Amino acid sequence: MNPAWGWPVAFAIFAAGLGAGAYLVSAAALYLWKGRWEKVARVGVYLSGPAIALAALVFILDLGRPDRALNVYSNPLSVMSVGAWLLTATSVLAIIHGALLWTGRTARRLYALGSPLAFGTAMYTGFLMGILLPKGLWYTPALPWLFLASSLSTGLAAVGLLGLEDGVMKRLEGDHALLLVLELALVALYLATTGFPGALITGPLAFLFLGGVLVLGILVPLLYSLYALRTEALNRAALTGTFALVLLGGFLLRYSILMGGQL
Amino acid sequence: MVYAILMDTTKCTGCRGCQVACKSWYELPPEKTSLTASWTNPPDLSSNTWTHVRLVEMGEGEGLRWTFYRWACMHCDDPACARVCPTKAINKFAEGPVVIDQSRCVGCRYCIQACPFQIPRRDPEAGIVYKCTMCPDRITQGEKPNCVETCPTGALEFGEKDEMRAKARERAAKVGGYVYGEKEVGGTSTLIVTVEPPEALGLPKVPMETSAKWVTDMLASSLGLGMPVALALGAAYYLKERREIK
Repeated sequence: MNPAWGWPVAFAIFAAGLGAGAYLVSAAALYLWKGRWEKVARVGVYLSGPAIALAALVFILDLGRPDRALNVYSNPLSVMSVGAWLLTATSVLAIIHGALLWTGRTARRLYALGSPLAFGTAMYTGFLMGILLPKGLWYTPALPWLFLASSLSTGLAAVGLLGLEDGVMKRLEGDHALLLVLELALVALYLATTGFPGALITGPLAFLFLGGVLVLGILVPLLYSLYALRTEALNRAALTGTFALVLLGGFLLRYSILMGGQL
Repeated sequence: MVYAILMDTTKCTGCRGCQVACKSWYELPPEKTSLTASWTNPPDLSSNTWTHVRLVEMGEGEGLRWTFYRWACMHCDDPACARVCPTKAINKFAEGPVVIDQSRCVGCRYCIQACPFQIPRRDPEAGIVYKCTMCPDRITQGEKPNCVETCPTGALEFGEKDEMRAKARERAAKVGGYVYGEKEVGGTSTLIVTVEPPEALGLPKVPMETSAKWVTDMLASSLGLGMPVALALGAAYYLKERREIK
């Protein structure tokens, strides 16, 4: 039997996570990272709305009957319905937030509303898959948190890829490393709690998961960041390269888990 | 009144009458199949084949044994498909049937992912999902589902659920076998009596808890994980900031 969900679903989960992660990185830049990176906050918000809207569009086009897409708002007990509401609300709010920033307003208070929505958007896909006991590889409480960690790291990487001043880029290295450590820990927790880690470690997806997700997507960028933290100079090309690797790893993470559960 | 279908594999001759009766009642198009080593044909359920007869052979030579059985939607008491459906297209009738409303279905395939028995199938052309209905249009008129109506050997029976359960247990005790569907996923409206263990027939190994339980358990334990994750992140952030300030 063909897998019921293919790469477009993996891509949409990735894009929704990236957008939500960018929004949360923006909030963190403004509040936790002491306002010193207003540029990061701006770029994060500009990126999040379109990324989440793109995810919603891909989800809709992947339906068998996209013309009936409005029906998916109907069941408040279904994670997919809740997700449809989250994608709608978060993308609309992030686009409004972006427009306000564009016109020069700060709109800081919007974060109080947008951040919980962004957490929901980043994590609901983990619940969507994680509650399905018949899919042993997905059925673990760690999945929503793993997706959140990956959303944050891909959100930061996407903001970084758009290019910022040297000083800001240099400061991003530390946060980048922190998020990658978190993601690495959650990958470990995920593998320890899923009933069928073999699908990712020894099965046909092992190459993508171990090589693409773990080595290229997490370990190489992490080791580079740890190395770069010890130097004063900024190697823009190298840092940008690791951001691109994190994005690749973020997509492959969703793809390998999505496919692995349907083997 | 809750109804159930009783499938007694010890009485099934593999005539495929139920398979054809289903096609006929719902005017489902034929399926292009090919000759294979297996008697089971079509080899699997599809959006146009909602029920089919399976043959499973076990052992060799003198020890050769075989079992025929009708395979279709089990009509769970607490259907995971209906629980996850975002459109409320899937409904559990009080009488037992679990039915997809094809006029609401958007073809998201979440039900396909959630079904522990791997029953729902998507029609590649129509884009939406189909499966056995247990013929609610017939049973609300006092008729049996068409597959049961057609069965010439009494392998398929239809009736009040408690009565079917009692019959299934009695029959299983007599042949020294099993009843599949009585406790699986908290109970279903299909009871399969088999001499061989259910795994040997390729019947899916499913949890004995209802989908309500396994879904809410996972939601709860996921949210419970939030506290340690948040604490770990907070601690890491604090250490990093302290290092930067130095």
